[in-house]
Amino acid sequence: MPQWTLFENDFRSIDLVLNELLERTNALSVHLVDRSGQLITTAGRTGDFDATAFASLIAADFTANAELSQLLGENGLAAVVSEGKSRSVHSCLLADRVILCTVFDRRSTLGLVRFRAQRAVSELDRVFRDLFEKVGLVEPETATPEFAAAASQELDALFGE
Amino acid sequence: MALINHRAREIHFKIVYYGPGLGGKTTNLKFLHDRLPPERRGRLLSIATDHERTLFFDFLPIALGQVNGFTTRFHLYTVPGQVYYRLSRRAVLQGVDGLVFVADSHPAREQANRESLADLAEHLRTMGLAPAQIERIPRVFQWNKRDLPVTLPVERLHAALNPGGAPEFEAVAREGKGVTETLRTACKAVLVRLSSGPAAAPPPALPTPRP
Repeated sequence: MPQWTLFENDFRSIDLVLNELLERTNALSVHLVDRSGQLITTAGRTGDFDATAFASLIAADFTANAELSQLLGENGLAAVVSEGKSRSVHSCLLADRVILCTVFDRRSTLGLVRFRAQRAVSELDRVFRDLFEKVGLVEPETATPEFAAAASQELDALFGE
Repeated sequence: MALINHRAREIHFKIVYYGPGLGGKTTNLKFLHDRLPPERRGRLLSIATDHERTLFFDFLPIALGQVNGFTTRFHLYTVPGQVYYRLSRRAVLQGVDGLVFVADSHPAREQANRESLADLAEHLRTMGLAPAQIERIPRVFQWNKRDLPVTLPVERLHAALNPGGAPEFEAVAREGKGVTETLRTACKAVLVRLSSGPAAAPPPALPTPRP
Protein backbone atom coordinates (compact mmCIF):
# COMPACT_ATOMS: atom_id res chain seq x y z
CA MET A 1 0.00 0.00 0.00
CA PRO A 2 1.48 3.36 -0.87
CA GLN A 3 2.04 5.19 2.34
CA TRP A 4 3.54 8.53 2.83
CA THR A 5 6.05 8.99 5.61
CA LEU A 6 7.28 12.27 7.02
CA PHE A 7 10.43 12.17 9.11
CA GLU A 8 11.74 14.83 11.46
CA ASN A 9 14.27 15.92 8.84
CA ASP A 10 11.47 16.60 6.37
CA PHE A 11 9.80 18.91 8.84
CA ARG A 12 12.81 21.18 9.31
CA SER A 13 12.56 22.85 5.93
CA ILE A 14 8.78 22.85 6.09
CA ASP A 15 8.83 24.58 9.50
CA LEU A 16 11.12 27.31 8.22
CA VAL A 17 8.73 28.18 5.41
CA LEU A 18 5.60 28.02 7.56
CA ASN A 19 7.08 30.14 10.34
CA GLU A 20 8.25 32.74 7.87
CA LEU A 21 4.79 32.88 6.32
CA LEU A 22 3.27 33.26 9.77
CA GLU A 23 5.64 36.04 10.70
CA ARG A 24 5.43 37.97 7.44
CA THR A 25 1.65 37.92 7.25
CA ASN A 26 0.86 38.26 10.94
CA ALA A 27 -1.54 35.37 10.43
CA LEU A 28 -3.04 33.41 13.30
CA SER A 29 -1.98 30.01 12.03
CA VAL A 30 -0.85 28.11 8.96
CA HIS A 31 -1.61 24.49 8.17
CA LEU A 32 -0.61 21.88 5.67
CA VAL A 33 -3.39 19.46 4.84
CA ASP A 34 -3.27 16.45 2.55
CA ARG A 35 -6.03 16.42 -0.05
CA SER A 36 -7.38 13.29 1.54
CA GLY A 37 -8.20 15.43 4.61
CA GLN A 38 -5.31 14.57 6.91
CA LEU A 39 -3.49 17.28 8.78
CA ILE A 40 0.24 17.18 8.05
CA THR A 41 1.53 19.93 10.28
CA THR A 42 0.65 23.29 11.62
CA ALA A 43 2.25 26.47 12.98
CA GLY A 44 0.89 29.30 15.06
CA ARG A 45 -2.13 29.53 17.31
CA THR A 46 -4.42 26.54 16.85
CA GLY A 47 -5.69 25.68 20.30
CA ASP A 48 -9.19 27.09 19.98
CA PHE A 49 -10.58 24.87 17.23
CA ASP A 50 -10.78 21.20 16.30
CA ALA A 51 -7.80 20.81 13.97
CA THR A 52 -8.85 17.33 12.76
CA ALA A 53 -12.30 18.47 11.68
CA PHE A 54 -10.74 21.62 10.25
CA ALA A 55 -8.42 19.56 8.02
CA SER A 56 -11.19 17.34 6.70
CA LEU A 57 -13.35 20.36 5.87
CA ILE A 58 -10.50 22.24 4.21
CA ALA A 59 -9.76 19.28 1.94
CA ALA A 60 -13.42 18.81 1.05
CA ASP A 61 -13.91 22.53 0.48
CA PHE A 62 -10.89 22.73 -1.79
CA THR A 63 -11.91 19.73 -3.86
CA ALA A 64 -15.49 20.99 -4.18
CA ASN A 65 -14.21 24.35 -5.38
CA ALA A 66 -11.88 22.65 -7.85
CA GLU A 67 -14.90 20.84 -9.29
CA LEU A 68 -16.82 24.11 -9.37
CA SER A 69 -14.11 25.88 -11.28
CA GLN A 70 -14.03 23.01 -13.79
CA LEU A 71 -17.76 23.33 -14.29
CA LEU A 72 -17.18 26.97 -15.09
CA GLY A 73 -14.57 26.03 -17.66
CA GLU A 74 -11.56 27.06 -15.61
CA ASN A 75 -8.32 25.21 -15.98
CA GLY A 76 -7.17 24.73 -12.40
CA LEU A 77 -7.88 26.56 -9.20
CA ALA A 78 -5.49 29.18 -7.82
CA ALA A 79 -6.92 29.50 -4.31
CA VAL A 80 -10.01 29.22 -2.15
CA VAL A 81 -10.88 32.00 0.26
CA SER A 82 -13.36 31.74 3.09
CA GLU A 83 -14.09 35.22 4.36
CA GLY A 84 -15.46 35.36 7.88
CA LYS A 85 -16.53 38.30 10.02
CA SER A 86 -13.41 38.13 12.14
CA ARG A 87 -11.32 35.23 10.86
CA SER A 88 -10.72 34.22 7.27
CA VAL A 89 -9.00 31.31 5.58
CA HIS A 90 -6.88 31.29 2.43
CA SER A 91 -6.09 27.89 0.87
CA CYS A 92 -3.94 27.02 -2.12
CA LEU A 93 -2.52 23.84 -3.57
CA LEU A 94 1.08 22.70 -3.90
CA ALA A 95 2.72 19.62 -5.35
CA ASP A 96 -0.71 18.58 -6.69
CA ARG A 97 -1.91 17.17 -3.39
CA VAL A 98 -1.06 19.35 -0.39
CA ILE A 99 -3.12 22.33 0.66
CA LEU A 100 -1.44 25.29 2.31
CA CYS A 101 -3.95 26.99 4.49
CA THR A 102 -3.56 30.37 6.22
CA VAL A 103 -5.95 31.51 8.95
CA PHE A 104 -5.87 35.25 9.54
CA ASP A 105 -7.85 38.08 11.11
CA ARG A 106 -7.92 41.88 10.80
CA ARG A 107 -4.28 42.17 11.72
CA SER A 108 -3.51 40.95 8.22
CA THR A 109 -4.98 41.37 4.77
CA LEU A 110 -6.04 38.98 2.06
CA GLY A 111 -3.67 40.63 -0.41
CA LEU A 112 -0.68 40.14 1.85
CA VAL A 113 -1.62 36.55 2.67
CA ARG A 114 -2.13 35.73 -1.00
CA PHE A 115 1.23 37.23 -1.96
CA ARG A 116 3.20 35.55 0.82
CA ALA A 117 1.39 32.24 0.48
CA GLN A 118 2.35 32.12 -3.18
CA ARG A 119 6.00 32.51 -2.21
CA ALA A 120 5.69 29.78 0.38
CA VAL A 121 4.03 27.51 -2.18
CA SER A 122 6.96 27.80 -4.56
CA GLU A 123 9.35 26.71 -1.81
CA LEU A 124 7.18 23.97 -0.36
CA ASP A 125 6.28 22.60 -3.76
CA ARG A 126 9.87 21.51 -4.26
CA VAL A 127 10.13 20.05 -0.77
CA PHE A 128 7.01 17.93 -1.22
CA ARG A 129 7.83 16.79 -4.72
CA ASP A 130 11.15 15.52 -3.36
CA LEU A 131 9.27 13.82 -0.55
CA PHE A 132 6.91 12.07 -2.93
CA GLU A 133 9.84 10.74 -4.90
CA LYS A 134 11.00 9.00 -1.73
CA VAL A 135 7.69 7.20 -1.25
CA GLY A 136 8.36 3.50 -1.24
CA LEU A 137 12.10 3.93 -0.88
CA VAL A 138 12.05 4.25 2.90
CA GLU A 139 10.25 1.63 4.93
CA PRO A 140 8.70 3.20 8.00
CA GLU A 141 8.99 1.34 11.28
CA THR A 142 5.22 1.01 11.39
CA ALA A 143 5.06 -1.05 8.20
CA THR A 144 5.68 -4.32 10.01
CA PRO A 145 3.51 -7.33 10.84
CA GLU A 146 4.31 -6.65 14.53
CA PHE A 147 2.78 -3.21 14.29
CA ALA A 148 -0.31 -4.60 12.55
CA ALA A 149 -0.68 -7.28 15.23
CA ALA A 150 -0.32 -4.77 18.08
CA ALA A 151 -2.81 -2.40 16.44
CA SER A 152 -5.24 -5.28 15.91
CA GLN A 153 -5.13 -6.02 19.64
CA GLU A 154 -5.92 -2.38 20.37
CA LEU A 155 -8.85 -2.60 17.97
CA ASP A 156 -10.20 -5.64 19.77
CA ALA A 157 -9.88 -3.83 23.09
CA LEU A 158 -11.59 -0.74 21.72
CA PHE A 159 -14.54 -2.68 20.37
CA GLY A 160 -14.94 -4.78 23.46
CA GLU A 161 -13.30 -8.11 22.78
CA MET B 1 -3.01 6.75 1.40
CA ALA B 2 -1.78 6.26 4.93
CA LEU B 3 0.15 9.18 6.36
CA ILE B 4 2.89 8.35 8.85
CA ASN B 5 4.03 11.39 10.79
CA HIS B 6 7.22 10.74 12.72
CA ARG B 7 7.23 14.08 14.44
CA ALA B 8 3.76 13.76 15.90
CA ARG B 9 4.30 9.99 16.20
CA GLU B 10 1.00 9.48 14.46
CA ILE B 11 -0.29 7.29 11.69
CA HIS B 12 -3.52 8.11 9.89
CA PHE B 13 -5.76 5.90 7.79
CA LYS B 14 -8.82 6.87 5.82
CA ILE B 15 -11.78 4.52 5.57
CA VAL B 16 -14.73 5.43 3.35
CA TYR B 17 -18.25 4.03 3.75
CA TYR B 18 -19.78 3.71 0.31
CA GLY B 19 -23.16 2.51 -0.87
CA PRO B 20 -26.58 3.54 -2.18
CA GLY B 21 -28.63 6.36 -0.66
CA LEU B 22 -30.48 5.60 2.57
CA GLY B 23 -28.54 2.38 2.93
CA GLY B 24 -27.33 3.12 6.47
CA LYS B 25 -23.84 4.57 6.06
CA THR B 26 -24.50 7.55 8.32
CA THR B 27 -26.29 5.28 10.80
CA ASN B 28 -23.10 3.21 11.06
CA LEU B 29 -21.08 6.28 11.99
CA LYS B 30 -23.72 7.57 14.41
CA PHE B 31 -23.73 4.25 16.23
CA LEU B 32 -19.94 4.22 16.44
CA HIS B 33 -19.93 7.78 17.73
CA ASP B 34 -22.42 6.87 20.47
CA ARG B 35 -20.72 3.62 21.34
CA LEU B 36 -17.06 4.65 21.53
CA PRO B 37 -15.65 6.37 24.61
CA PRO B 38 -15.28 10.13 24.08
CA GLU B 39 -11.51 10.04 24.54
CA ARG B 40 -11.24 7.63 21.60
CA ARG B 41 -13.33 9.50 19.08
CA GLY B 42 -13.68 13.05 17.84
CA ARG B 43 -16.74 15.02 16.89
CA LEU B 44 -19.09 13.50 14.34
CA LEU B 45 -19.13 16.05 11.59
CA SER B 46 -22.09 15.85 9.20
CA ILE B 47 -22.61 17.99 6.18
CA ALA B 48 -26.26 17.19 5.59
CA THR B 49 -29.35 18.74 4.05
CA ASP B 50 -32.22 20.11 6.13
CA HIS B 51 -33.79 16.67 5.86
CA GLU B 52 -30.74 14.94 7.33
CA ARG B 53 -29.67 13.43 4.03
CA THR B 54 -25.91 13.50 3.62
CA LEU B 55 -25.04 16.39 1.33
CA PHE B 56 -21.28 16.02 1.18
CA PHE B 57 -19.97 13.63 3.82
CA ASP B 58 -20.00 12.56 7.45
CA PHE B 59 -16.69 12.40 9.24
CA LEU B 60 -15.71 10.62 12.43
CA PRO B 61 -12.10 10.37 13.64
CA ILE B 62 -11.23 7.43 15.88
CA ALA B 63 -8.01 7.06 17.86
CA LEU B 64 -6.64 3.65 18.75
CA GLY B 65 -4.18 5.02 21.23
CA GLN B 66 -0.48 4.24 21.31
CA VAL B 67 0.69 1.34 19.20
CA ASN B 68 4.45 0.80 19.26
CA GLY B 69 4.86 4.44 20.16
CA PHE B 70 2.57 5.73 17.43
CA THR B 71 -0.90 7.13 17.93
CA THR B 72 -2.95 5.31 15.33
CA ARG B 73 -5.97 7.12 13.95
CA PHE B 74 -8.70 6.04 11.59
CA HIS B 75 -10.66 8.72 9.82
CA LEU B 76 -14.08 7.44 8.83
CA TYR B 77 -16.00 9.12 6.04
CA THR B 78 -19.32 8.44 4.38
CA VAL B 79 -20.25 9.54 0.89
CA PRO B 80 -23.63 10.96 -0.12
CA GLY B 81 -25.47 8.03 -1.65
CA GLN B 82 -27.88 9.82 -3.93
CA VAL B 83 -27.06 9.39 -7.58
CA TYR B 84 -26.67 13.08 -8.36
CA TYR B 85 -23.90 13.64 -5.79
CA ARG B 86 -21.44 11.81 -8.01
CA LEU B 87 -18.72 14.46 -7.86
CA SER B 88 -18.99 14.77 -4.09
CA ARG B 89 -18.39 11.05 -3.77
CA ARG B 90 -15.25 11.27 -5.83
CA ALA B 91 -13.97 14.11 -3.67
CA VAL B 92 -14.42 12.03 -0.53
CA LEU B 93 -12.62 9.04 -2.05
CA GLN B 94 -9.35 10.97 -2.41
CA GLY B 95 -6.59 9.12 -0.59
CA VAL B 96 -8.77 6.23 0.59
CA ASP B 97 -7.02 3.38 2.46
CA GLY B 98 -9.98 1.08 2.97
CA LEU B 99 -13.60 0.73 1.84
CA VAL B 100 -16.77 -0.40 3.56
CA PHE B 101 -19.61 -1.02 1.12
CA VAL B 102 -22.97 -0.77 2.90
CA ALA B 103 -25.60 -2.53 0.81
CA ASP B 104 -29.34 -2.22 1.41
CA SER B 105 -30.97 -5.62 1.86
CA HIS B 106 -34.40 -4.45 0.69
CA PRO B 107 -35.30 -6.23 -2.56
CA ALA B 108 -36.31 -2.94 -4.16
CA ARG B 109 -32.75 -1.64 -3.68
CA GLU B 110 -31.00 -4.45 -5.49
CA GLN B 111 -30.37 -2.38 -8.59
CA ALA B 112 -29.27 0.62 -6.51
CA ASN B 113 -26.68 -1.56 -4.77
CA ARG B 114 -25.26 -2.71 -8.09
CA GLU B 115 -25.20 0.79 -9.52
CA SER B 116 -23.45 2.16 -6.46
CA LEU B 117 -20.74 -0.49 -6.67
CA ALA B 118 -20.25 0.24 -10.38
CA ASP B 119 -20.10 3.95 -9.55
CA LEU B 120 -17.37 3.24 -6.99
CA ALA B 121 -15.30 1.29 -9.50
CA GLU B 122 -15.63 4.06 -12.05
CA HIS B 123 -14.54 6.74 -9.59
CA LEU B 124 -11.47 4.78 -8.56
CA ARG B 125 -10.50 4.43 -12.21
CA THR B 126 -11.13 8.11 -12.88
CA MET B 127 -8.89 9.03 -9.97
CA GLY B 128 -5.99 7.52 -11.87
CA LEU B 129 -5.61 4.31 -9.89
CA ALA B 130 -4.37 1.32 -11.86
CA PRO B 131 -6.45 -1.89 -11.70
CA ALA B 132 -3.80 -3.51 -9.50
CA GLN B 133 -3.93 -0.59 -7.07
CA ILE B 134 -7.73 -0.72 -6.96
CA GLU B 135 -7.54 -4.43 -6.31
CA ARG B 136 -5.27 -3.85 -3.33
CA ILE B 137 -7.57 -1.44 -1.53
CA PRO B 138 -9.03 -3.49 1.33
CA ARG B 139 -12.81 -3.65 1.30
CA VAL B 140 -15.51 -5.07 3.51
CA PHE B 141 -19.17 -5.58 2.62
CA GLN B 142 -22.04 -5.01 4.99
CA TRP B 143 -25.52 -6.35 4.20
CA ASN B 144 -27.57 -3.86 6.17
CA LYS B 145 -31.24 -3.81 7.23
CA ARG B 146 -31.45 -7.52 7.87
CA ASP B 147 -34.40 -6.82 10.17
CA LEU B 148 -36.70 -5.86 7.31
CA PRO B 149 -39.71 -8.15 6.84
CA VAL B 150 -38.48 -9.02 3.36
CA THR B 151 -34.79 -9.09 2.53
CA LEU B 152 -32.62 -10.19 -0.33
CA PRO B 153 -30.95 -13.52 0.45
CA VAL B 154 -27.36 -13.09 1.58
CA GLU B 155 -26.25 -15.53 -1.13
CA ARG B 156 -27.80 -13.29 -3.73
CA LEU B 157 -26.12 -10.17 -2.34
CA HIS B 158 -22.84 -12.03 -2.18
CA ALA B 159 -23.10 -13.24 -5.78
CA ALA B 160 -24.08 -9.85 -7.13
CA LEU B 161 -21.76 -7.59 -5.15
CA ASN B 162 -18.98 -9.61 -3.60
CA PRO B 163 -18.05 -12.48 -5.90
CA GLY B 164 -14.41 -11.91 -4.96
CA GLY B 165 -15.14 -13.07 -1.44
CA ALA B 166 -14.11 -10.02 0.59
CA PRO B 167 -15.19 -10.14 4.25
CA GLU B 168 -18.92 -9.53 4.63
CA PHE B 169 -21.28 -8.99 7.55
CA GLU B 170 -25.01 -8.97 8.09
CA ALA B 171 -26.11 -5.89 9.98
CA VAL B 172 -28.91 -3.88 11.47
CA ALA B 173 -27.05 -0.60 11.78
CA ARG B 174 -29.81 1.28 13.60
CA GLU B 175 -29.52 -1.28 16.41
CA GLY B 176 -25.75 -1.47 16.13
CA LYS B 177 -25.75 -5.08 14.99
CA GLY B 178 -22.76 -5.83 12.79
CA VAL B 179 -21.47 -2.25 12.92
CA THR B 180 -18.35 -2.69 15.03
CA GLU B 181 -17.57 -6.06 13.42
CA THR B 182 -17.59 -4.41 10.01
CA LEU B 183 -15.32 -1.57 11.05
CA ARG B 184 -12.95 -3.74 13.02
CA THR B 185 -12.47 -6.01 10.03
CA ALA B 186 -11.92 -3.05 7.70
CA CYS B 187 -9.36 -1.50 10.06
CA LYS B 188 -7.49 -4.80 10.42
CA ALA B 189 -7.43 -5.29 6.66
CA VAL B 190 -5.93 -1.82 6.25
CA LEU B 191 -3.28 -2.56 8.87
CA VAL B 192 -2.37 -5.84 7.23
CA ARG B 193 -2.09 -4.10 3.87
CA LEU B 194 0.24 -1.51 5.38
CA SER B 195 2.59 -4.17 6.65
CA SER B 196 2.40 -6.35 3.57
CA GLY B 197 4.26 -3.80 1.38
CA PRO B 198 5.97 -3.08 -0.81
CA ALA B 199 4.99 0.54 -0.73
CA ALA B 200 6.22 0.70 -4.25
CA ALA B 201 3.81 2.92 -6.09
CA PRO B 202 4.27 6.62 -5.57
CA PRO B 203 1.17 8.49 -4.54
CA PRO B 204 -0.79 9.39 -7.62
CA ALA B 205 -0.67 13.08 -8.34
CA LEU B 206 -4.12 14.43 -7.83
CA PRO B 207 -4.87 16.95 -10.49
CA THR B 208 -8.26 18.52 -10.37
CA PRO B 209 -10.57 15.64 -11.24
CA ARG B 210 -12.46 15.82 -14.47
CA PRO B 211 -16.21 15.34 -14.39
